[in-house]
Amino acid sequence: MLRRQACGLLEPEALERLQPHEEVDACGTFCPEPVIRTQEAMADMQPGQVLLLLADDAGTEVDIPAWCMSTRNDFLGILKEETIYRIFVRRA
Amino acid sequence: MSEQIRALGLLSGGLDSTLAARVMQEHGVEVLGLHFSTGFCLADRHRILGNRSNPDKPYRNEALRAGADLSVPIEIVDIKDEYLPRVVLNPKYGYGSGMNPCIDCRIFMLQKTKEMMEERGYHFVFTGEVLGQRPMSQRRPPLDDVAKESGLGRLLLRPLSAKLLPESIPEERGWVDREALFDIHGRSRKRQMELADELGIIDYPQPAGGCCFLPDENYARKLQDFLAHNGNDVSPDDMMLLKIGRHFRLSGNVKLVVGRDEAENTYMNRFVDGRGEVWVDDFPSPLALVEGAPSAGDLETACRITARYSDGKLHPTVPVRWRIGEDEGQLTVVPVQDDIELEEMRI
Repeated sequence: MLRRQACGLLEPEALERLQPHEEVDACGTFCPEPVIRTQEAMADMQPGQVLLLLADDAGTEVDIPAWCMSTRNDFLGILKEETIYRIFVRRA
Repeated sequence: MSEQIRALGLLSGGLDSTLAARVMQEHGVEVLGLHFSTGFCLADRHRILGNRSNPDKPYRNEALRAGADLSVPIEIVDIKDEYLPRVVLNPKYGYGSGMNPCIDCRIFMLQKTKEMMEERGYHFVFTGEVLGQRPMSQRRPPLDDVAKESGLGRLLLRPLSAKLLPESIPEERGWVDREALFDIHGRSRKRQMELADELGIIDYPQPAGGCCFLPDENYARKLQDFLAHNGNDVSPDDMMLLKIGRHFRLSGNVKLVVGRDEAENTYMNRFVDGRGEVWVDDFPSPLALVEGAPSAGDLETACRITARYSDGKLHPTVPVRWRIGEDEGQLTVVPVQDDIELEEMRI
């Protein structure tokens, strides 16, 4: 059985320097809405492009990495500021 | 070189659908898992209120977890806008114990899946349904009805019970080996758990757990009450609010929703717009939301109920604050003490 990817590909300092190509604000929504919005945004992006997802559903901390793993996209990492998660995903 | 066979599978993340997907992988089938979001997911409430027994461990989406574990891509299909009017409100096959239109639900999801199969060039569809497991939708006649009315017919495979069902097209054409499929039936999960062990699947939610609010009699009662008083104009927020709090019908068009604890109170703050509020300042108190246009009598009742659920409930009188639209005020009320009086209003 595959082990879930526990950590992102980049360190926090590298995430801070990233310039995402797209940003999706899913704050105020709960599963599966953040994943649906990620899914929709990524469908229109090119390989190598980075999406920044903003969310305040704590479940996104495990759901987005799981989605990335199953869809073979790159989970780059999460920065958390108080209740807001900034989640970086790269289109594979 | 033979063509790669590709299948769409309904994947809730429960044990049966996870096993079905894994079995298809064992047969060399490339799988895309579909997870339908109806707005009535049982896990939604847990997600919203958090994991109270372990706050550092958020609830996970089981379908995504299964997809990651199996390396099966998951696509979440949002059907919330269509689901209530097209499936819940007038189901051809009726309801189960609550307002669960399980057969119509399955047909609707598989109709959607069939559309995707044809648009994207997949060969067939599979599910984790097990003959005889669920009382409403998994007996033989409804399984046949679902296959027929979804339009899939023999392109629908149920790998866990395939040997007990007529041969499907995937089996007939050798896309999967019928002899290597299963004859699981009935309500016990023992064989599925043994199969999970054999296939190395060790992480799955508690078997026999439901995943939908609609069979729940309490939820069904609240939804029926809402529809009776508001018609079919139900928003996703309305459906969500029905999942939390204590609900009271005060009069024809006036309802009160009282939070049961801090987590519910916090969440209910999202629904304040367009609703009135009632609360107690002097004691720990729930947040109570008022729907509709309360009369003076309704407002007093709302305040008495809110006081009843505050820590001032045993005081002879309690000052209760209220806001309805632009108006605000305070009433000093006697908290409701009579449980029978409460239950008569309880939805």
